[in-house]
Amino acid sequence: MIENEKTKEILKILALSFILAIPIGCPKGGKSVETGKHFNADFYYTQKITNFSCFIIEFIEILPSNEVQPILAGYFTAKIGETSDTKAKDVKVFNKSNGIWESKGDVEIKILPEKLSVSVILPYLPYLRKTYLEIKVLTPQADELCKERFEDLLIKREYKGLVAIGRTPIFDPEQMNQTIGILSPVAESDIFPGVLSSTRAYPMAVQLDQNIKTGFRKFLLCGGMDILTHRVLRTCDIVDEENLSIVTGPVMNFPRIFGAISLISDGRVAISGGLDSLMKPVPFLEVYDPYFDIFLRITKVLPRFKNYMFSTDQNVVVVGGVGEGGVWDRRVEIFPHAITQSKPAEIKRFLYTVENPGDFGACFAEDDLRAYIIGGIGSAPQITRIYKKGLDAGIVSAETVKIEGIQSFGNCKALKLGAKLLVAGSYGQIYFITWDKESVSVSKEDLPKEVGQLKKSKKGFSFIKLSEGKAVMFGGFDYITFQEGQTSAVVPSSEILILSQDGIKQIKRAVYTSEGGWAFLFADEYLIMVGGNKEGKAQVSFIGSVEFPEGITTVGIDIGEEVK
Amino acid sequence: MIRKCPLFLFFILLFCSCKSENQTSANVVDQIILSFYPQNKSSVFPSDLTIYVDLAVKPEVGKIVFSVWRDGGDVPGTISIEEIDKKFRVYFTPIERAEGTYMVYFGYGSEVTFWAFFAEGEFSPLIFRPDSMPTDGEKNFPLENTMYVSFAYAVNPDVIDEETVRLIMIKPSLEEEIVPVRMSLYSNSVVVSAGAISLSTNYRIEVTNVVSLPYQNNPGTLSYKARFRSFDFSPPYIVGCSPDFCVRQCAEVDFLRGLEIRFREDEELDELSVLDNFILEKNGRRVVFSEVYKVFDTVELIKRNSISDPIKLYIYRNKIFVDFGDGISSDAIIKIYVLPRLSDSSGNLINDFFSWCVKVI
Repeated sequence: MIENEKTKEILKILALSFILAIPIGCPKGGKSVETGKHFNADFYYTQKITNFSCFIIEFIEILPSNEVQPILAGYFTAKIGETSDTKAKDVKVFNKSNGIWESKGDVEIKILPEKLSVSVILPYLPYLRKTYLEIKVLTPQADELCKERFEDLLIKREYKGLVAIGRTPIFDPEQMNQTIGILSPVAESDIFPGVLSSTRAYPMAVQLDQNIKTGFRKFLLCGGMDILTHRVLRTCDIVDEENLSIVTGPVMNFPRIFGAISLISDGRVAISGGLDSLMKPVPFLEVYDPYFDIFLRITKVLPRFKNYMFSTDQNVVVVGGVGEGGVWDRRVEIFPHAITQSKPAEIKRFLYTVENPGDFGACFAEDDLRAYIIGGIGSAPQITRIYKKGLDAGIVSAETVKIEGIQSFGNCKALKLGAKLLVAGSYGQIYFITWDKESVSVSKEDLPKEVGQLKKSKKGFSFIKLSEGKAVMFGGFDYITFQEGQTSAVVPSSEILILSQDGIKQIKRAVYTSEGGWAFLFADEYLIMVGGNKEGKAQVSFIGSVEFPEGITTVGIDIGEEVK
Repeated sequence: MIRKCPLFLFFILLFCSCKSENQTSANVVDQIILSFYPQNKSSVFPSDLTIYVDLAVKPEVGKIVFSVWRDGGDVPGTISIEEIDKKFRVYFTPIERAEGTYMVYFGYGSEVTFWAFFAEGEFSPLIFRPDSMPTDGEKNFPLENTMYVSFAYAVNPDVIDEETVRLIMIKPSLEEEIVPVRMSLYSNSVVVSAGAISLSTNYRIEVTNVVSLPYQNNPGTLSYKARFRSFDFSPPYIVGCSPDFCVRQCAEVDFLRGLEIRFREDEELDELSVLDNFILEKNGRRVVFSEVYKVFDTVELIKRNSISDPIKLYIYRNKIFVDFGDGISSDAIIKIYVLPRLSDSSGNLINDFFSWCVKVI
């Protein structure tokens, strides 16, 4: 009997260990699980965070009503850069049954040169499986005041003097116990002291893949120009969101700037055109295979730059761009995906001409079904859309619509955001265009002007789709006229415009002006701008809501369903 | 014993999953290919270009597959083997050590490896020779020619638009009109095409505030303006004068403050040829003008003579005007001569002799 009891006990422990061990994985440093569940989050902090010392940490659950409910909280005071390790004080856990905060749980913080490594022991798992860790940074410097603010937050949900916020993406605590977050000022932009440093400008960028479990992505940034040496680059970087790092990527066969890049449906990446180090158009298309981590195939193509490339289910398609002698190329090059397979004999190319192929200054966008060629200097503003499915069937099916009431988009950049085509012209307007079956409707918004500015236009900016609901316009140059008849002053722009499909949603200022910078959105809230400035520092701008994570309401995360 | 077994198995399982990243050492022992150089994704100077693979066994030459491509093309080279510290180094020595991206495939027996690296030398930012077509002041510019402005630096293609690149037609009235153009950029050259421009017309091409590529560590903005005149094959043609001496040969007036000869509206006289080929006599004596002005876009004094007679000559784009100061009120005969070599700015001679007079009575 005793033997049986012992056996049962061992099996119970075994079963429990098994249940615990799988999500925990292999604990680093050999520390054993004591009570509750361990979570670890590395918060990469920006430079200005070192000016503050009052930090409140919360483990927050998202309720079905989209409200947020902290389930663990604590605070600590520390001077970043001076303190090394610390523990959060007054760590409390929220008891849902009686609504009382109880002294339980544990939070340890390792203060490292670029990040705060936060370890949380949560006595119990939240019932719902959408959680995130948050750090609020408040102005008080003294411990007592910080404690007061912490209590205010716990009881009244007031956070006076909030200067910075750190958040992880929303995660399922049963599936993940390790994640990262960003901690940056709320109101102003800031820089990362070290992570994501790069002097690359004007890269050709594409998302390589996304970890289904964590949601973290990898991006491939190829070519462009080193802003310090002015060398056109043949190297690529891989930006890894999971640890906010840039690792050396593959080497292209040719240096390129202002070329086109496209992700092929099987995960490979095609790059075409661009200018080489002598500023001549590159007449080759090459394909990167992430499995081998190398550019494997090279195919001769029409030499052009400022071209666009998109992928269909079966083809890679190159449109537009400036060819030899500065002539806009009207031809559409179509390469079946087989070009990238091993036999050169199978390389095929089909050439077509579309009727309205744009002109110099034209911009491009695409969605799942179509690719768009927009504008072009010297012709009436128009949009041509090419159907992807038609191309796979061997037909170039395109239609064109003239945009009334606009003289010119100028030298534009475009992207598709939801149902709308966003076109940022070079004359100071952003156009929001809906083109459904029956009609085209256009609304526009002028770029914000400051007092004393008579006219403002922006050129050479970066215009990047950040998510299904957000885009950013930053960097480049503001051409400002202060008085009628006066020549425009050219000022490198520090403006960051956050756009939705309805208009300009936020205006922020960058720490450094940039040209040819690239950006991505971390956790749908932290805009990270990489490269394009000679300081080489990555810049961060919090564009979310301090109340709750943007991820609650944006496309892709649906409350009530499991985070996959 | 039976009771402990599941626990043991569990920990073995956990141990294995945790250590999986480090279990390659056993395999490494049997590897033939130990390492290669240059490293994957690294860069070397072309002059230092050496490619080799280190093997653990002495290779049979016939079994080695060593292929190198640069920028997609085969690289010819020689293969040699050297023994170094019990390793066997297989070299590929390219015939030409050129810049570029190299892809290397090495196979021996059942083992293969391939990698890429690149060779690049020191880099000096590109400086181009500035140039333009048309040049500033150019005449007889062909009507359908493409124009370009080339800067010393590469230009950011994103800033080229109708605000930074303009072709302006300057009307005889000096009114300016922007001409719709197609534009493009090729390297450091802004290329402008207007289709057909008008005959005998002045234009200005302006490329202003374009941004060098990159803007940082460069001059920043670049600007260039050039004024030119389109093809003009018509000789200067007189369309009128005042008083109307050119109709009557000799006009009679009771007071003469000034006189003028008008040419076609699109004419642009050559001011130096006017100085030499427009002659005025007053009562039989050649008039020396106290001041001569060129009045095109601006008023420019081009000649001054120290004389007491305050008669001034104004050469307009399409008009010659003589200002007699206080005027001539009586008993004077003014003779006006236009000689055949009077020309326009495009070099077209009037090729005729004109002689008129004005009597002040």
